[in-house]
Amino acid sequence: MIKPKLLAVSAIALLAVAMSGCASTTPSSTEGAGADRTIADCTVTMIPKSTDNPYFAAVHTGFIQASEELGGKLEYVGPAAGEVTAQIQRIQSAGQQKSCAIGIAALDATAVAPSLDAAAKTGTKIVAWDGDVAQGSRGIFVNMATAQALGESQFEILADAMDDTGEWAIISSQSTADSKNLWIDAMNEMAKDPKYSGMELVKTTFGDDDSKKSYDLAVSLIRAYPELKGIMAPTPVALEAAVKAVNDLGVQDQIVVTGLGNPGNDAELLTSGQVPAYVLWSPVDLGYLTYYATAAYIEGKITGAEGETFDAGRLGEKTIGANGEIIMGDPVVYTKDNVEAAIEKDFEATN
Amino acid sequence: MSTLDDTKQAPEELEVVHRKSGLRRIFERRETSLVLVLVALVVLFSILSPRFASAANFGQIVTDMSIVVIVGIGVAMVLFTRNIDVSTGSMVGLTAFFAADLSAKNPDLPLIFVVLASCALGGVLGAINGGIVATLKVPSIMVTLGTLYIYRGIDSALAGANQVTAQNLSPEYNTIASWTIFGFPGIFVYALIIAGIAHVFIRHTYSGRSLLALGSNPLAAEKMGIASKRWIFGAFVLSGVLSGFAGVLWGARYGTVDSSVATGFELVVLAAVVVGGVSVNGGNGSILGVIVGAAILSVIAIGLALLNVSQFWLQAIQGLVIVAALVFDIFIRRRVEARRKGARS
Repeated sequence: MIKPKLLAVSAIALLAVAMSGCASTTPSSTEGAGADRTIADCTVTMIPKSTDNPYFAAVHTGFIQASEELGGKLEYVGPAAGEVTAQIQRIQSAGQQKSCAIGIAALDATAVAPSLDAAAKTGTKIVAWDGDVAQGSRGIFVNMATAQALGESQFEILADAMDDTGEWAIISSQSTADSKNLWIDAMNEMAKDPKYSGMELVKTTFGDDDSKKSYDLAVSLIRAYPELKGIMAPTPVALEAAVKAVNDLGVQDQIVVTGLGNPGNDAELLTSGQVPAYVLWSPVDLGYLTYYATAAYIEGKITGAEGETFDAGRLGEKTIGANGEIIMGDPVVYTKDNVEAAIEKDFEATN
Repeated sequence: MSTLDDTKQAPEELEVVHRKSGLRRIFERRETSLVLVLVALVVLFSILSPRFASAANFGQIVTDMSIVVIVGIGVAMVLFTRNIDVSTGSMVGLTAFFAADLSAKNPDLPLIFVVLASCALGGVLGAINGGIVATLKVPSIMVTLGTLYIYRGIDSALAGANQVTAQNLSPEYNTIASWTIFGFPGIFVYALIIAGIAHVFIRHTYSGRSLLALGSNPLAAEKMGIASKRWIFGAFVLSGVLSGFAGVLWGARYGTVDSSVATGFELVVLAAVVVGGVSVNGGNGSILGVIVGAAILSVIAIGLALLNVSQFWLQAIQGLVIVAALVFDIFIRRRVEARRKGARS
């Protein structure tokens, strides 16, 4: 009677030893992984907000250009639709595959943090780009421009087109998109200037980057606020949807639409005069810079401390600012005059 | 099936039909109470928001509900047979991209061909659903839940990172959904025509009654010689074809078509159909109910959007109003039934 019990106990003991053995070997191997490696020997996992988005496809082009220059294996994986749970799964599998670095455009700054922390514990370097994550959960953040500059440049176009007076409303993407919320804060801050005292923000809405939802929001805003003169759409899906709604309801002479546009898709909005101007940056450059920054971070050339510099290939030398943030440059305002030239250079998507 | 069999079964069948027409009055009462709920909501929102009761806004409501009605009719047919189709969101999404992409890449292609091709693709998707359900006898909720993901996956693979925007499409594509007749939205005309045909089919043809009989009592229907497999298959194909048509309308109406189009739409459609009184247990419901159900949901959505409700609360309040509307509906129905019983005794 005792024998089976004994067997079981010894089996459990053996298992425990085996498991503790695993546990003790893992950290030592990650210590090696944590030490500086060269980018050429590395796998770098880049996770966009959505792979089904032409903007991110253009960022991908930048990743490829940089990885061809620097070497390293690029893994570009992400959710087809913008789902944060799918992003978390990609982070977990990248952690298991021992990627040297994970670069992420976070859909939700806090939701992805725990899984990034877990990956970081095994020696994976964490880089945020496009959309930041909770600060303790990443080393560096590659930002296309300061939130303030992005918010203000979009607001300026709108205010200009509205002659600084009248009601305006916002149709953003997800309410959890931190970067967009910061732009909106910057717009609100700028609107406090006495110059814009004639302008009134009537409502801020979130279309989740869904064309139907954004369209429906635009229609209800136009109906609910008959005096509405401007729609601010700081995301291309909402921009396109708002333009369509304004056209469908025949109020294009009354309401101006602007915000963030993607010249790769929306050049005609400018050339046809439906939108006076919109703002973006070069997504190809963003991918290129992010890959260079990630490589420098992997190789230990930068640690995320303020004032460190690194070489970013054709973009020259870049400096790390406060909180590990790298600013790519100033936002670009696209109009019918400069959009065609920009398309080829900055928005060529690699599928 | 031989003609002899048919004649043999005729008397029994007549009885069923007869009983059904007795029940019909209750169905009609069911719709009456739903219409009362709808009217109450319209009055309520008209009081709360001065902008609600306008011709432009009612035009908006019927436009908004049209795609739901069109897909809802197909789903109702499936529900009548005691099955369910939860894959419509992905069928609409896949066909929306297929149709928009086809038209954007071949601008010379006649639009009628694009519409037919999209309906045909939808029909194939529906046939896959129906084929598996009818021949393998797998519960339809499992089959269509599976194809919901499969069709979305194909959509994603097909679309990749590409979008078709209103700029890529010919202006005529847009007019598929935006034409009007005497100020009446054309998209609602499609919905009414399809609803009219479906209503006549269900209420006034032998086949339509067979479909309902099959759902209310599959065993009896089989004994009566109603070829259940064929009807179930047909209902799923119809759901697919109507989803394919809705896909074209979606692209025409909302402009930007990517791989996430109509995600979650299957639940909106099911909500409208169920609110409209179509039973999930089969054999019970009407096309008029589907229209009223879709109208109730649209009135609530647009009514709340006109009030200054915070968007974060909007969904919760929307759900609350739907539940309140249904409770009100049940309350009216009970009153009516009680009065009828009282009148009898």
